[in-house]
Amino acid sequence: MPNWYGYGNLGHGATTTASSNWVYATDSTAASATYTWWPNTYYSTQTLPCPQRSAEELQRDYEEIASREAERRQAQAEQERERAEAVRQAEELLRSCLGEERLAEYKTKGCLSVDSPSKPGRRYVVDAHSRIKVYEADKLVEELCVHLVDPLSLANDSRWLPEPDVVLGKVWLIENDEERLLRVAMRVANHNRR
Amino acid sequence: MGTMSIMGRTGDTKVTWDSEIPAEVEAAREAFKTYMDKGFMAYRVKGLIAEETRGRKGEQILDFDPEDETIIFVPPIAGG
Repeated sequence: MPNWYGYGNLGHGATTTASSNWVYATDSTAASATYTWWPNTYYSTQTLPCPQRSAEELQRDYEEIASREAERRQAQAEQERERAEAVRQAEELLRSCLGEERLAEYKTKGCLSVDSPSKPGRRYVVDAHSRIKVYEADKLVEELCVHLVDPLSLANDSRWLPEPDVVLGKVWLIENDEERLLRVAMRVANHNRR
Repeated sequence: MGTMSIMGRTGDTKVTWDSEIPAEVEAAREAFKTYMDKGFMAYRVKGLIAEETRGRKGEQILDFDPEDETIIFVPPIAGG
């Protein structure tokens, strides 16, 4: 039965807490130290034995943890830079397709208004991640839930795509194939309208 | 010179072709088919923005025409 040392979210000899995401542990009985990550649920109710360790061993482990944390932060910063560049490109695409005026409208309001091609008086309000809102005579009549699907992950969510791309995709869907939008979308009626 | 822009996670990927160079047209046609097979929606964009106050309309297309100037691919939709 190995003895487990805990670091990171786990205090020495302490019980893990339900709010901790991960437990970092080493097996002190192995000939060479092994490092493994577990989800917190595995140990969430156990108190772990924690033998004394030398200052050098602790220092070495803390440095390794710090190094991993630095790598994680660097990777996160890189992801944020890539996302910002993707959003910049998507805004440029929106501007080149819909014009400066509509890009400004989107950046100011966070949404775009599109007139129904088939029904006078009906208007759609489109943003990146909320349902498409359908107004008739300026009254909200229903909401439409659609996503642009990532063909790789098939995740039913548009968050993988830069926001201006999602908006442009929805605007063109309304303008070109409103019937398909109404067929595919999950529709939520507004029962409060009068 | 034609351009395809394919929307994606890291921004749009571009494919360009010269309608007078058969090899480029063929490569673009192949790319068009690949994205259509994945369920993407293709829109042809024409005209200049200044000509229309509400921007350019994207016209949905099903077939590749090498004379098109700009084609935008939008990922497939699903109800949520």
